Amino acid sequence: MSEHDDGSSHHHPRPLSAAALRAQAIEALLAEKGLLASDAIDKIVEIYTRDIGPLNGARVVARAWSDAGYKQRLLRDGTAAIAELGFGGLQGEHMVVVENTPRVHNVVCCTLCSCYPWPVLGLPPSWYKSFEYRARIVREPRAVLRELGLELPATVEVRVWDSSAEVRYMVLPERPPGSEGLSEAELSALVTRDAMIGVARALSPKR
Amino acid sequence: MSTLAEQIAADRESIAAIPRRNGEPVFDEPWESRVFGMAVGLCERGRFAWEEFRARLIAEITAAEARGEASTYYERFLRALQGLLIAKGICSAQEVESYLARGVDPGH
Repeated sequence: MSEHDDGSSHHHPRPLSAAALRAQAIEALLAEKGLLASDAIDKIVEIYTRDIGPLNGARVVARAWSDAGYKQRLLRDGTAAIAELGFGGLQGEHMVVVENTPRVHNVVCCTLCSCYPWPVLGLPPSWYKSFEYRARIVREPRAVLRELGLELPATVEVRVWDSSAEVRYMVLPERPPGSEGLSEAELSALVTRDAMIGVARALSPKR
Repeated sequence: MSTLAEQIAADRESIAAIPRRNGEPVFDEPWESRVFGMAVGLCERGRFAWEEFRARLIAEITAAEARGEASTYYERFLRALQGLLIAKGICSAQEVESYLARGVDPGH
């Protein structure tokens, strides 16, 4: 067996199932043949779990970009407007949607714990729950956003929204330039989880 | 996002569509994410076309359902992957069994 120097270690608290053992055998075989290294698999899984979804929130944003009436309802009563698209499971939490504009940038956090509207935003990214993000985003949001790759002009006001058990926030990002004429489905592909947390802009359309 | 990722993401309704919650891939066990990564990685490296894999996956799912088997999506996915590796001559059934017998864990 060749050595893997990627430093990864997987913990298996339970005895492995037959499928898990077979998967391991094939992974080892592919690595030994030089066809696919274990760290390449790590990378793929990471990319796919990050880039695919969260669909529900992206659909809400795409609808708001396409339909001015929906956007008004969304900003007035997020819970009801999100439920209009059939996305429930909010378990009594009240959804508040805050709109980014050329003058105001919103960002969401939860300083107390890690409240997060998973029915619309999917799984929270690991940094969202980190003590550092929770503590610093309120004190120095511009610096944290810069570190996350989002540079905001000094003229833009930054508003930080602290989620709680009762109220969950979601950012309605600005519609990217060059996205005129795109369908809702095409628009939803531009909406990332990070854009709806407010630590990134929506993606720019290719072309 | 690569074209392959878009292709996989776009497959939302068919029986071959990966299990998702709110659009995101979900894996109930770590090994499920590993076999998913292996299939994608080998496809990205040109070992086979995604459609070839997908056709095998659909065949495995259909056959398991016909047998009334209680296997999971990723158990069928794994079977499809091993079948394609053997069909493509990437490895033999004997090799897989001998690695299984050795009980190697690539993570250690």
